[in-house]
Amino acid sequence: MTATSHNKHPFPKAIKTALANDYLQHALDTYPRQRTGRVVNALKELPDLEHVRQQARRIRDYSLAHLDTLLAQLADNLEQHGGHVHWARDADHARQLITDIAGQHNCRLAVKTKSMTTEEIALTDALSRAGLETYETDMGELILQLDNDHPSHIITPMIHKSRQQVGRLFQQKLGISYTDDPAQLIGAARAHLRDKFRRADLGIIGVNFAVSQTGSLVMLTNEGNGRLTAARPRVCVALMGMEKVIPSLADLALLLKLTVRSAVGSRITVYTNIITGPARPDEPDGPEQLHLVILDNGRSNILASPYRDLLACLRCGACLNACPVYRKIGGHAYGSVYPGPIGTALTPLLEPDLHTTKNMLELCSLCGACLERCPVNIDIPRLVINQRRDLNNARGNSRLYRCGLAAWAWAYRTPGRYTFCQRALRLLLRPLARKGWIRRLPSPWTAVRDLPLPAKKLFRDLWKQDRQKP
Amino acid sequence: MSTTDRQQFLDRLRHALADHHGDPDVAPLTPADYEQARLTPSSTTPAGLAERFTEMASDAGMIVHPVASTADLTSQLTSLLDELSISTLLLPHDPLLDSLALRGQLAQRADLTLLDLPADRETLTEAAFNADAALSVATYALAETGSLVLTASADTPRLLSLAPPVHLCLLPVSRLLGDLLDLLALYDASALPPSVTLVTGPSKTADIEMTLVQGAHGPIAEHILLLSNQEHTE
Repeated sequence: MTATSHNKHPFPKAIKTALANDYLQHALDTYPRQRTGRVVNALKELPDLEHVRQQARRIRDYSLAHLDTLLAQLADNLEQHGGHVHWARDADHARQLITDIAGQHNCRLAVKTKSMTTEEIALTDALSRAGLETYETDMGELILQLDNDHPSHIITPMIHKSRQQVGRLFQQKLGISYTDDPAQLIGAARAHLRDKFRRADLGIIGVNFAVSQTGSLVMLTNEGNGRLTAARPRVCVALMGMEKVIPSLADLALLLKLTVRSAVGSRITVYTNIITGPARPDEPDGPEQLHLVILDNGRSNILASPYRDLLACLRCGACLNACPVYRKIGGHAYGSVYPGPIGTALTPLLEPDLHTTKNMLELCSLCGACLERCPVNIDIPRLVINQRRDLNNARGNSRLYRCGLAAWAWAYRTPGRYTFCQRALRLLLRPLARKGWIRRLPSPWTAVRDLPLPAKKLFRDLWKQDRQKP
Repeated sequence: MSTTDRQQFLDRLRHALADHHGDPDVAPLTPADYEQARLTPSSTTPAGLAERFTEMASDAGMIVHPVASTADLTSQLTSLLDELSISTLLLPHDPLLDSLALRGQLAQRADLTLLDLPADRETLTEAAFNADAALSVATYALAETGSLVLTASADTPRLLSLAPPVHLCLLPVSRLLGDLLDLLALYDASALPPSVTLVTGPSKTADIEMTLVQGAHGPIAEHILLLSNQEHTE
């Protein structure tokens, strides 16, 4: 599924590289926090935030519980408006469907918007292989495409790149003279892409929400690239994960108020596009052909599993900005399309591969910051713990590991045993400690951590001592 | 082929839903639940709506010009065209524009070329990508967020308010709505036109080091001529 899924993603190495990257550390230290500040302020405008979050979650739960009927209704309505609907069971199938549509209509030049779902199925590569000139049109995604790089954040895909890097890249790839002024760089990118928009005959868009009662596709952008992609080319293909459907326009109103604030800290995006079918015959622009591809790709397994809550996700990226692990290691260290807390919980289910699952689930510290920020209250820490339990039950553990657990269970059973073990452990480890810290043990645990020697006076001793004082 | 794909896809979902245990049935939301998310009270007066709209639109980076009369509209529009050095202007056919007789007045300006909208795709694209500015009329506007609601039609193509770097928009106050809930309720019963866009500000991006840059792919400037006089309401 991802660029790294064929050769195993080297988690420790990727994390060390991220930690050693000064610019990345600066960016991760600054921007997510800035964003969260704006999000918190914007959410204050909602009269009763907790209530709205609960209602939003109810809309999502209801939609998931009725996913079959809502998707059928969406398809029927969109077809009635003249759209075409395709059902893709997995990434391969979706790529095939989309390249077939491009082939049938003799499309040569594709422009596409930023969409995590197109990243999930690696669509850009597939289109290029099928012979289409394909351009990412989101400014961040364009920069990543020019640099053969991948997004590292759901909303701000190139958070890991500095303006100087962009300046050098544009100097090399777009032939402009070097500048690191964002306004000039964006101006150059605008000029570069305007000609592509003018000539494009295929537009690929993502879908933020699909409204079943009206057969509408909703796409949110700030740059206007989404609007141009859906307006200019004569063929438009929309790709959506099957979980994006909601029942009504009233649901859309409520979710928009919450999602946009959570994602970027504004009241609304610059462009909220509601697309309900192809252009009418008397209209001089807009797509003559509108195709919707609905993607499963492992989602129906999640729907049946105890992890269904993850499908309520609106992809706002708020959990990434809140996560202390993401804010240290960045998106690339996860080695997956979806990084951060949502990626940690979702990737092992979308890509059930032992190496990924094991390492991914370790990337959560269970601090709960993501849950606090999630607009639809997805309890990611709980879902991570449960997956760790599943993993533990599924893999046959070694005899040593099982003995260790049995010993731990024995020691933990009474306070007396526990205290005895604490004191025994101190005596046992003291010869290895220097200045109260053990730096090396015959275990990978100490490879990146130091272990403090158990204290001479335990907390409970201090507590008792303190209570005896007058 | 597509029918089988659909059948298989939906069958897989039905099985998944049947296999899932645990959650009690979720009830759909009631009208009262949606009302909890209302940000503009239904009782807001037209003056209140205009005030909130102006505040929110300005906050989003759009420039709102209050217009008192038809004569005022012409003079404000001409000074705006001068100020922005606009020499080619796309002008659609629209009942409101026609009733204001703007076309005739603008046509008298020697340094301005008025462009009619071509009816075929290729010529329209060239015209829209080359014009300095376009004038359009908002279908509605939203006080809650300061958004223009633009609807595509045979006379008002999508590229009109999108491809030229400057977008000028006429908005009669009578078309102001309060809340996003009110706007989307209008479309609930009847079918939606194929393209409805809420526009809130000039296009922007903060992709490079979270530095906000105005003017990404869409218009670089959005000017709203807010017509307060009752004679403009049809």
